[in-house]
Amino acid sequence: MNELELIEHLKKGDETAFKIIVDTWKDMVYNTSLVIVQNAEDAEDIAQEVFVQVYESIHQFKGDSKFSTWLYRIAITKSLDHLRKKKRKKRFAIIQSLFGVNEEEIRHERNFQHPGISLENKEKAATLFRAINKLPDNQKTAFTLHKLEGLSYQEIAEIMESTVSSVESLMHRAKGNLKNILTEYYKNSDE
Amino acid sequence: MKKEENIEKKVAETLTSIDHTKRATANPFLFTRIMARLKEDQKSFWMRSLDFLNRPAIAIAAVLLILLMNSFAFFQPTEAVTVQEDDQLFATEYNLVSSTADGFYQVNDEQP
Repeated sequence: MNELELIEHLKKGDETAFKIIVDTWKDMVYNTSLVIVQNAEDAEDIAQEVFVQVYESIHQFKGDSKFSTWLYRIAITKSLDHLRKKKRKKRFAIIQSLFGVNEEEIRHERNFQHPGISLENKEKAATLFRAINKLPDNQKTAFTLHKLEGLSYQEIAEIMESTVSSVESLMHRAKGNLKNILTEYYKNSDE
Repeated sequence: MKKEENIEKKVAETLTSIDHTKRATANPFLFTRIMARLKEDQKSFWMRSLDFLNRPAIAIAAVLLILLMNSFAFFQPTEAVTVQEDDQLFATEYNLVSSTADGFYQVNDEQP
């Protein structure tokens, strides 16, 4: 079955077609969520949510873009929403901590390790992931899709419903911001 | 000067540290979990309502509410209706009202 046939079968509620879709794109969806939320459990939850949404709203997919592009969009939206919710929770925990409640939530500073990174780069990659976390959402999306999903600027532009030149600009700003954050980090750690 | 060069080198190395990263693989049981989630979502309204009521917090709250309403009804002071008022109402309803005791006997002594 090709991509279009799979989608047509899924629209008719075919569970086998859905299984093939999940098996084909699960790593792509999981990895995209993982590099954005930087937490394996959260990424798995998001991957599940993405495919549940695919199953329930497959009728909304008109085929104007590639199926993978549509999947990327859902995964990115859900991952960024998840991060926003987490930030709100963290802010609330800070307020609570002023009254001596829930200090554990704030102390929970993550040191994310991507499973696909080679051993010699683990420490530097963890530093880079912390820096990526400080980027604005659109720069973070463009940077991670390019660096960790290996997508071209053209593909990123399609996913972000933007132009190639604006993706180039996002990447340029992301690299500049990361350089500044890392320089600051190494200056402080050397002192 | 050397320190700055060292920092620049570290920054450059860090920026390239995620190049050629292998894609992370999802849980092999992801499909099973998705299907379980879908079935959970497809439960009927009544099943979901029952699930909601079965939650310990909700069930305990409901029992407490019932007990509270019962105790409120039980301990609420009721207005004492006098026996005399009851008799008067009864008499009015069956046209037995008479000013004297004779009237009562007249009514009762009537022959068919």
